[in-house]
Amino acid sequence: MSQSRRVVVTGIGAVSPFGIGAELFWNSLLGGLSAIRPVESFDASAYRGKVAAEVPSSVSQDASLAARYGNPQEKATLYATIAAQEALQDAGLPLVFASEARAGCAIGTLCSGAHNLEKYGRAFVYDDGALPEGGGPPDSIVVSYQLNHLTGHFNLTGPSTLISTACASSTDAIGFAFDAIRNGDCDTMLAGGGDIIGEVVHGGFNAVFSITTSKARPFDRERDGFAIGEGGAFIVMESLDSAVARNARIYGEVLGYGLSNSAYHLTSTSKTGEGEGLAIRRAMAEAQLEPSQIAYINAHGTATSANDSTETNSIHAIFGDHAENLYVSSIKPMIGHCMGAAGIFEAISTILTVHHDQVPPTINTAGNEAGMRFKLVKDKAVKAPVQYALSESFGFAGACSCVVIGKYKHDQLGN
Amino acid sequence: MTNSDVYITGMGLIAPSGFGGSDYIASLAERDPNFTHWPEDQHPPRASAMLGVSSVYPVEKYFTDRQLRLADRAMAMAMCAVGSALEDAGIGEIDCADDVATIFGSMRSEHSSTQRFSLPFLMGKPKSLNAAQFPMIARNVACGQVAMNLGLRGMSSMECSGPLASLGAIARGYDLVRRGRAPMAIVGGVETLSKFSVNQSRHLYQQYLQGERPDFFAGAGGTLVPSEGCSMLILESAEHAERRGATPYARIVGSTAGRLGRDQDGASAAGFLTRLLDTNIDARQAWKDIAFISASNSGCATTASLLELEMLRSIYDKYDVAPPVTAARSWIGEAESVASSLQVQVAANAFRTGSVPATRSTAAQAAVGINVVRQALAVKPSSALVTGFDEARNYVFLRLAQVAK
Repeated sequence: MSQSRRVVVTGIGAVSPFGIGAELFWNSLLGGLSAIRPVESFDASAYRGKVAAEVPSSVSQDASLAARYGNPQEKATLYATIAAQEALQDAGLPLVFASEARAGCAIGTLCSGAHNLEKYGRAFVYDDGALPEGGGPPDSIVVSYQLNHLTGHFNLTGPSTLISTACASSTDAIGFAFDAIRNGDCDTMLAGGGDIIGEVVHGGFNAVFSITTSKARPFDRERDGFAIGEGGAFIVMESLDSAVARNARIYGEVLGYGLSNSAYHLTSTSKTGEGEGLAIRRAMAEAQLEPSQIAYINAHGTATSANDSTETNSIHAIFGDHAENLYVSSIKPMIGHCMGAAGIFEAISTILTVHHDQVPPTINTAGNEAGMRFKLVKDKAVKAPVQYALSESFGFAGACSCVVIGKYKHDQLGN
Repeated sequence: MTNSDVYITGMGLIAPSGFGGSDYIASLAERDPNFTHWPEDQHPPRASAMLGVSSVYPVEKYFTDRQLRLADRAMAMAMCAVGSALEDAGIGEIDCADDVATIFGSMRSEHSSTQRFSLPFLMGKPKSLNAAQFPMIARNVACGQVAMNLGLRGMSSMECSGPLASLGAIARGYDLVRRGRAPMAIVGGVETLSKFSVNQSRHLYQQYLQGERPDFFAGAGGTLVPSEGCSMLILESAEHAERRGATPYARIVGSTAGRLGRDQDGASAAGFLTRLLDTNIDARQAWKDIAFISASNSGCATTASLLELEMLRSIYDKYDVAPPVTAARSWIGEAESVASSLQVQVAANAFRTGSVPATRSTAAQAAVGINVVRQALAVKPSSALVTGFDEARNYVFLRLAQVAK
């Protein structure tokens, strides 16, 4: 990357199943707390899996909240807007950019608009396709609604995109933002996304036996799936020059990203982990790092039988003997699988891990995955020096995405 | 970091009037667009309302019977259009499958399958949800299906940022190839119509469905024809294309994207025009070199079309040029990301055919100052511009240039 601009993280915001605030999110992770509970927002009695990690009703049912964030007519967009605003405030940036600032936005989401889409679907079936009451405006069921609300609300005029690569979406969005800054298209990008639990998606994952009937237990031989989570999270990514010039606090550096398609199956990860591993290898190549330099991996760790064995295989294939030195954890047993937003929650956890040298735990697990040789952090957070770390996301249709985060050294003086 | 030249070497299109590669695309303006009447039972917004339905594409060529049973229309159309584009590029066996990028765009192609999957749930029978249909609610299944069918394991992504999503996908594919992260990228857009999404079009475009006919490049009135299809392009690094003896159509030489700010419009924003000039960074070409513009005009006075007209006029004034402008949507309808991708195909094809196709349904009185291609225009372009605007004031611009001999 010697001839490219360096990209750092200067702001973090989150609306998680624990509530509003990145600090609450991080402290809850370190405390090994779980936000997974019986589903409240719909009747889950018809499904074998009945748990989820929902944003607390004190947030999701607060009618006054939306008005403070531009009145988005869609829940995932509300969570995203709250989180993005926290990230901008945390970075010390304005909440409304000047048009000439050319700040941009990269969003990853899967289920944004799902609640409204259900209402439009019902109206189509039962009400002759009339506009449904409470279903939001017609564009609120098009996924780009979230992007358009955020860019309008914060007056973001730079490169923008909404990426929907299933559960890899928001990790992919970080990559887009990284390129935009590195290539000199802009100095500042919001990257992240909001997602929600919809009954259709819960029912779908239930139908393919991916929803746990008890607890999510990644890398455990008794695992039986995940609980869906929801929320919104954003980071402010900035060129190092810009961050240094305004004396911003720097949480860490985004060193590279990699994407791949496993080209194996529409819903299942590959058996060998080879296609998934390509994303990891590309991210490390971009970051100009050797496998032996990585200290921690925030795993996709869904606690499904296919994912965890695939991910274990890919980690072992890439890291070889160094796997025994690698700390690995999955935060999904605590916040659920936040679908398209899972990647940004996990990237934030990774950034804070690098920043604080504290690794959040994988709760609920016996850590007895067959053949596993890496150091799965169980039960309690551990303190460990983490110079470089990976965050991995895999999604339907073979989508694989990975980012590399590095510790920012205060004695570095920019490019 | 060395930058590679990026060539467009193949294209495939599925549209209401048919299916094929560059020859089909070159013939679009001469064909009956094959729009159909909006079905009576789907609440036509007016008696003469039309739709563009794409029904002719050779799925059996690319899918087994079993695959077809598990595929939705977005997956089927994407694979057929990619297959056509690869043939158009003269690519049989892909020699670098592990590195080929697949970057697709779509505005709402998932709506049809989402509604189909959700139906039991909506009818109060959640236990009847069909697990086999579940994957199709993910927007990237078409991209994944193509990757799976062809064994492509390179960088893969799905942009869903509205009707310009495919232009974003093309720009990202261009960047990946240019920077050496992929020797080849398959890029483009896909959209599907179903009864549900047609009904959604009725609400989404309500204010733009009242006119009697499309009026391209008019300053007022007109109407949209909601449509569907798939448009795919093959991008290759110059090295890869030359090594296999490809005949490129054109090269992409720059792109820029963003959104007009609260205080900006298409004409007045000096900063915006400065950014527009960003498209010249790689080209090192002047505005006077632009032989023609492939515009996103929709045939209706939408916010996006009016912004684009303002922008075109400001370019004319600022640079004292008036490149002729044509509109891909006049041949296939408002096919959202498909139409945006077709804009690039049409522009690239003109470099080879030496002809810019005429816009159909052109307004008798085009907006002031707009130089519309009303009859096929013979050109020897060295450079062309593709412009895209959407209703949320987002824009994407691409610059194409001829391939150096």
